[in-house]
Amino acid sequence: MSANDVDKKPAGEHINLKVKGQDGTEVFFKIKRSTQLKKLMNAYCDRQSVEINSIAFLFDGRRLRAEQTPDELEMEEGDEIDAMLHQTGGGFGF
Amino acid sequence: MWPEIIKELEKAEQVASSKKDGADHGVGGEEEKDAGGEKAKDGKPDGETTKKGGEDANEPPKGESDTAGQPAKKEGNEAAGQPAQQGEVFKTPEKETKKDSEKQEFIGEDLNAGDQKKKRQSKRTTHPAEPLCSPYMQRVVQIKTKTEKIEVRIAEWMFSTVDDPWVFIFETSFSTNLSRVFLESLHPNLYIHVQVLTAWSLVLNSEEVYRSKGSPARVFCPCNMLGENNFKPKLNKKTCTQNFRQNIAATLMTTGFETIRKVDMLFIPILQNKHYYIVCFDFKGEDIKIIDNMKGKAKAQKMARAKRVKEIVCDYLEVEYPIMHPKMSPLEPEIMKMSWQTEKNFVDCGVFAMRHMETHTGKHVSKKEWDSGLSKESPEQDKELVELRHKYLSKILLSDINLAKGEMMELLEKYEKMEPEKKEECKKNAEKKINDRLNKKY
Repeated sequence: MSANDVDKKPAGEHINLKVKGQDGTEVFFKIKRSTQLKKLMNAYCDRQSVEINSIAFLFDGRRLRAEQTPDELEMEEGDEIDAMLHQTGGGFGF
Repeated sequence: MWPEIIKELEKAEQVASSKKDGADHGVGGEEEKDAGGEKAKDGKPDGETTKKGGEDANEPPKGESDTAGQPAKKEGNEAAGQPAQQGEVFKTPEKETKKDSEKQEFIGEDLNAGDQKKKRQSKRTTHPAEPLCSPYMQRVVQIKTKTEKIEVRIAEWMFSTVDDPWVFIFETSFSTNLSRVFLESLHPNLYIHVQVLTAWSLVLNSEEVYRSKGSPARVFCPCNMLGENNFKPKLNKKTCTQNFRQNIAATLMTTGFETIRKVDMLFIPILQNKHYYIVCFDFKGEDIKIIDNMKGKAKAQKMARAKRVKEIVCDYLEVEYPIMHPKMSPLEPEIMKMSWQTEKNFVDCGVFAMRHMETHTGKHVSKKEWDSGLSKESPEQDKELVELRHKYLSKILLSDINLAKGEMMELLEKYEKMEPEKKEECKKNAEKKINDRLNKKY
């Protein structure tokens, strides 16, 4: 049913994207093609309870910027985004 | 004539077998029943029935014999009700059931032959031959030895800030991919990226198969497996343990060990407040150690984190390794003292953590059994740390688990074909450029 619904909708309306964490966990998001990816990033970070600065979102070997949209990046239904921890350390804190 | 005789014989068999079973399933033919009964009492029912069974098999029985055979069949396997197999089915009841189960197995094997083969194959784990293992194979990176040509080439290319920073140059079959910019953080005087330590764990895990017979079985967790999100006050311990269980299951899949019970030492690298250190669980030596390059007592924050890690691991052990739980739960994490600990180094803790993971095998340092090969804090130690950064970079990239080695070498060769002036241009201010690439905000 759901697959049919998706088919019926005109292309360019919504898109299902998969965000893959490093531990293999997958979270699915459905966003408008014209919505900035910032919304998806914030939702993912909230869900994982991590700060947005400590995660790098990669798509096709490129880092995603918050203001980019799926349309801009020519994303397709079911595309996968990698979420990676993006932190460094050297002994400053202690 | 012959068909009649065969029918009679079948009935006789039927009666004999049903009598033995203690239930009268005989369907008519009383004269034959007697004959069969006598034979059975003679004490040689097996031989007789087998013979008859043999006859049956030779000549296909008719419809009547089939119906006569049904009650007996019901006791055993209904699936084996083919006329040609009746010879076997009609042997003594004990044998009958035995044979039936064999048949079932056989049928099962036929259907799932492929699956069973796979299962058998997956059970068999291969170990490398002894001459391929430590000490004949050097697992630990050596300090103060000549740097290999390839190590120099890779370092020069890596710190030249060419190529797209997000191109993957380290890919594994465990869905851990590293972009170029992460490995660039191994440049001297830069903070090391958390992904480098994660990749290092994978490399070390893959090399555990080459350990010598006496060495402990070590498992290295990816860095920040127990990250900040596992220590938020709102998270209860149950959720943390659940997360840990999932994470460690994923980690064990990247190693040669199926369960935690086969593991002697568990290394958990922690990144807290921009500082790396290791919490090491030694199941064999029964202790919990905090391995940190910073001298002095652990601050309250660090100690609290280590204790929390211990609690989570102990909760996990309670279910997965019940024998170890009472031994580990009363222990408190202890800070290890090493001669090469530092007071003023605020940039290399990642390298120290990597070295500690690589060289620590559970021996206590005060007995002078654990030697990381590093000198005391001095300019000499700084040189050693730079050398290690270069060597670790090559070791990660040239590891067997790196599936993107080919692409990596292509990029390296592409860089080497560049004109010397361009190369020099790229290498200028590398430290600053890499730092910008790393910390560029999007």
